[in-house]
Amino acid sequence: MNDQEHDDLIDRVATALDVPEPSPLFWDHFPGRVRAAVQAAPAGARLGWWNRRAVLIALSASVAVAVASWTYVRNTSDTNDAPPAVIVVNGAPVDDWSDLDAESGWAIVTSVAESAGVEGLREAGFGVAPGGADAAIEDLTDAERAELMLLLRAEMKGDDAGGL
Amino acid sequence: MPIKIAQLSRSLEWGGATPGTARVIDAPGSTDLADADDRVIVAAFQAGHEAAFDVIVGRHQRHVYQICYRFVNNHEDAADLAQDVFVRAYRGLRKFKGDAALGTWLYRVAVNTSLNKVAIKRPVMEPLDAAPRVETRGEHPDAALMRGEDAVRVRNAIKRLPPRQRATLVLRMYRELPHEEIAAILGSSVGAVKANFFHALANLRKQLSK
Repeated sequence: MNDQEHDDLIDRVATALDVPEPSPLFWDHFPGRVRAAVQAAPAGARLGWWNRRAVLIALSASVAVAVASWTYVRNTSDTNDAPPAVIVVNGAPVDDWSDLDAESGWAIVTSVAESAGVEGLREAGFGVAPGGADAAIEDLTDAERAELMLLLRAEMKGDDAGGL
Repeated sequence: MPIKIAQLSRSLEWGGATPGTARVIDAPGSTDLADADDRVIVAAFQAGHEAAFDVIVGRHQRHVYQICYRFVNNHEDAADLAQDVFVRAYRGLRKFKGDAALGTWLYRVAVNTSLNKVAIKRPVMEPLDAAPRVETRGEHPDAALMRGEDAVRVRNAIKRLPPRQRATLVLRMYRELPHEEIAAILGSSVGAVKANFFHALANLRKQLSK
């Protein structure tokens, strides 16, 4: 394209892109039209950053509460649906304790428990407060204590099988 | 009601003026905001003076409308687009830091809004027998008609250009904006603007010679 062709094309484009002048009334009314459009814009579009943040925080809080509620309900439901622990233990006793006996932690607990008398433990400050939940242990029969021991062993073994 | 610089200064002080607006506080207290510099008006708007936005609209409405018109080629769509541009500008102006001139920023909003509009809308080609929209310049009616038809052909060819080339051509033909300002508006380099303008003309020439 030589200079003359270039200039001709520019002229044609300039003519084609010529913009006719609207009525003077249009310019008079246009700012009012824009103002009305701004006011009519969705409220969300006019929120400042702090409002958006507030909305996000409120939304996050709602989600957190919903999740917590759902988790609580689910856990409660699971607990209620689970059969009593004693029955489960009786129905499906843990039959392999060999690896538990090999546990060094359990060996320490066992040796301490075997050597320590009740009076000695009380003097050492391990006494059971009257009315405390753990006081109930002292009221268990031998069979119940044996059952409790099975439960504790199963728990320490990390065996949550069968919905303990 | 005109807003005085003195009032503006007080409101800026209440709103905790930033260092950039300290100049405003020191300004003489007798000038109407309507006569004030764009930066002063923007500062007033950012300080909470809604009326300052009316001044901005009044000052830039013609340029914004004319840019929009060049993309849509009819008054109704151009008026709607220009309105949309100012609504977007209203939302964005509070974050406007003044890195570019207000006019440049508004042109950028106008070009982006227009390109979005033409991108989602299938280009409607004008029929050649559409009423010629050219000044007769005292010439023979036949000549005016031919010029009108040629203008329609050129506009249809412009509609087929890729968006960047189209935007560059519109801005270059509009008040003969320098390449540097077009680059600032389009957010590209001066080299890219020159290349786009060159390709736009080459494409136009190719289409018009068919």
